[in-house]
Amino acid sequence: MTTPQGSYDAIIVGAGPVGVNIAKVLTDRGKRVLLLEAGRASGLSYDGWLSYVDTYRSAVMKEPNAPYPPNPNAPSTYAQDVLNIQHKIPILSGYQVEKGPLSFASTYLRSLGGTSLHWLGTCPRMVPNDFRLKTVYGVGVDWPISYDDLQPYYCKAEWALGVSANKDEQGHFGIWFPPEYDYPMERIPPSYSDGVYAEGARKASVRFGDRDYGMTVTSLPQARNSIPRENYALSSAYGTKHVGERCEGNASCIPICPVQAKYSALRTLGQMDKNFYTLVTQAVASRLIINENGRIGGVEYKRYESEGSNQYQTGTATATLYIVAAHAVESAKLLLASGAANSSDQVGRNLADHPFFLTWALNPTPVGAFRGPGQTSEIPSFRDGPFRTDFAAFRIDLGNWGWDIATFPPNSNVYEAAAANTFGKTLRRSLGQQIPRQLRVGYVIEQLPEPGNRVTISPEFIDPIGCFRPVIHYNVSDYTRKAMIAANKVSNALFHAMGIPDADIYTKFTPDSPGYMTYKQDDGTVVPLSFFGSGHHMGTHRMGVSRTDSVTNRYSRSWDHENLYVVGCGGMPTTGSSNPTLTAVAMALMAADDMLTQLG
Amino acid sequence: MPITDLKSLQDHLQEALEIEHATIPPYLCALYSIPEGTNREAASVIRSVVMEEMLHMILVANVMNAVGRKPVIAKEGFIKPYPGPLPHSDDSFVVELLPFSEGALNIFLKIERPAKAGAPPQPERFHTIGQFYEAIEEALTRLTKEMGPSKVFTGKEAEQVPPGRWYYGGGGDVVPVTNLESALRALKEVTDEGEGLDHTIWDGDKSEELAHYFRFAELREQRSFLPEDTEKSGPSGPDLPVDFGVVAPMRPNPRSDDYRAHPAIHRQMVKGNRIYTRLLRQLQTALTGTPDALRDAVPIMYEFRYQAEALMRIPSPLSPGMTVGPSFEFDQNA
Repeated sequence: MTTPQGSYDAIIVGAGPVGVNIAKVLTDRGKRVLLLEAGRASGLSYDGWLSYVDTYRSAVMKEPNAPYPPNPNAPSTYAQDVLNIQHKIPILSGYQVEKGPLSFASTYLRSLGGTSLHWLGTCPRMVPNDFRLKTVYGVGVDWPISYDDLQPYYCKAEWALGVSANKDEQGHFGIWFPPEYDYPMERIPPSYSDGVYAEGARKASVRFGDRDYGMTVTSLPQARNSIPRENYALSSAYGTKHVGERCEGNASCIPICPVQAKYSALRTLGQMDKNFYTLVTQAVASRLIINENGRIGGVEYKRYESEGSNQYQTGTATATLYIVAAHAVESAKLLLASGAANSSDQVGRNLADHPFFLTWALNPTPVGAFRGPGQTSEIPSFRDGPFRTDFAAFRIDLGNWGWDIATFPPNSNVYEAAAANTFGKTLRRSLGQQIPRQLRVGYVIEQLPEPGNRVTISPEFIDPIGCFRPVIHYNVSDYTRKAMIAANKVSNALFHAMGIPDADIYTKFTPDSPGYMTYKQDDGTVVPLSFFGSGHHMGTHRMGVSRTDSVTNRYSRSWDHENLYVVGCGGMPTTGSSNPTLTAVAMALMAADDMLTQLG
Repeated sequence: MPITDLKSLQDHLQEALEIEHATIPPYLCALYSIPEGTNREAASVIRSVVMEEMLHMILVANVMNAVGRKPVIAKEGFIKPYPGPLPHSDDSFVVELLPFSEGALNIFLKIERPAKAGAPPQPERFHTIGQFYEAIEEALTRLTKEMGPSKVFTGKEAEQVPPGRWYYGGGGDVVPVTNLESALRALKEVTDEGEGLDHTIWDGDKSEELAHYFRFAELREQRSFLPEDTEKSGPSGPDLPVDFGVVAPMRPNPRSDDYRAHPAIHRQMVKGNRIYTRLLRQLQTALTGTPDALRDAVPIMYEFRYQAEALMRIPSPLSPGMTVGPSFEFDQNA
């Protein structure tokens, strides 16, 4: 078993995509790094990866953490634990304790590689106005950095994650690229259904306020292997050769890409110089030690020998710099448990997700559902606009996997047919007529920073090795609920433009769905709504311009401890509507430059 | 008879294309007979070899296009029947379509066997594939000198399959061919990957991989090579266990005609043959002027794989305990 040796230039807590990309920058410059990872290291061998694939194949519930067996000593929440909160508060069944009033419907993974093992890989940049929401629209807060500040780090992050896209299709709402720059790989080809949507979108229009909004379908940047551009060295699956050098369309990106054509943090780990880092897994950071001078003096961790026993040993590791990259929820937990970095009282607050609003329908003709990556195109038309003074921005993801999590086909179709006493050839025909026509549109909606949405800890809720379980307080404000009403209007306009009659629009919000809630419209009518989690935990240690209302400065460095960095999606002051990993890695690379300056 | 003119050289390159293709069906049968999750090392070895055989087809096609001859792929007769000798060989052994087995590995080793040191070039009735290529390389060099490069390399650059774009999943890469130097480099990649570089066990790629012959030798011996091992010493590294018992028991050398009396099975075999023929047609398009058509060949390859695996699950009424399997027959109606 590897153990920490001596003192390091930097200790990074958490070997997910953010942590390892910082480790890569530091080790490339000859800095000595210790990576502390709470979870298991199975992904570090190709056989270990294939065992994940086997677990996924035999799982009944193909949910995002299905391939990754539960680890009692570094627990994660599984989707089946996210119950409809209307039934019972608090929810105690899973790892995260839900205090409501709504359930936080997203999960993450504590394992080597972090949630990048099960993410979808969608990598859009944020639009410039996302960084100045307060100034432009009078809501939320501004970031301490602008799009222009982050732009060079977006470029680096896209190369680090291996993003496939064509920049000439990505200039939404002021997003710009340097003239000499392009993504490392060509775009993933759009699916057949993307083309069907595009035809409808051209004709669709919707009115908000005094403005009509059109819709366009464009390709979505994705961290999955495609045709490399010049100078980009394509990566194979970790621990083997010639596997996963292109996306193969296995259509299981979430929860696992069997060939690792989709980026995971393991890839970056495999590219790092072993002489400069120590990786210690099964080591849960439990406390940051704060010196009298305010600097962090060490990190205390609990090392468990096996997942079958709650026996552990406590150790302390020391370094010049401490970098907490443990995930928005886990990082907040560690800071709270240490009484660290919280003079602003913002640690754990402003927890946000992108509530994922779904609509679904049957297209008049087959669209080839269930083929390819989860999504290959989007409608970016509502990522920014004057409506943001009134309701939240959203990105529209065009799903490739039929009705997907809306109804869990094809099983749900089989159940329904069986219930109607259909069998044999009739059953096959009815499935064949329905399933290939399934369309599902997902609306990734912005959520404003709200102090009451937060992660807390309590001695009442402890895991088997004595670490805190996260206690989640979560609600969705009217700003976001109103965007769901708008999204439904967009959806109807789109479906109608595609020639779909109302009878073939199946969207429904029932009180037994996990994210059920209602919205009271201006005219007093109460309408039902429902949302799913996007798995985008953000905002729990936001950066800012002032130490009074933020946890870190623009370089993700703690206002309170000059040798502490808190990095990851938790650092985002507002969420925009872009999937956050790319932005988090860009912010982390910006932070890494500051770390190199400190280390000299 | 040595290769004396450009036409004869072009004919020999077409033969090379047929030889490279002839290795693919037997390798695919072995690969698809291995159930997912079993014999992982063996499956990975066979997959890597078959990917590189496809690369070799592309490399030969690039040389052909460079010297002004259009490759012929989607045509009756391009696929040689199994069982049968390697096309244009000295008939010293018979290639069969078999599931993953010792018998299959013995055939694979004969296909990939290295030429003995000093073995002569053999333009006709070759003993090893390496000797056949040596004859082509010799002729290419000689004719370029005699006729001048502009008379030999008359192909359009746009017809060349480019590197780094369509080929992946195996060692090496495509070499675009525009002159003698690149032509020889392309052909050397073919022989190095097959039989090894300069009588070593390595294929000479930067990735330091074993040549095909030695990858198969590992499977037959169920033992890995160590870096210091040689052809003579054989593999002396760790165990490399294989399990023939879990393999789909495909009846050797499937032929659709054998199943005429079983229409449901016959239909499935014809379906497989039509997919394979469509694949050949797509390759024909790609390798005769529109290299970007290779993109759409890939989904057809997957389609074929799924059909081949399905055929391997169908019990054969002709031999109890065995299953049907893909027959790789050209279908005019595809």
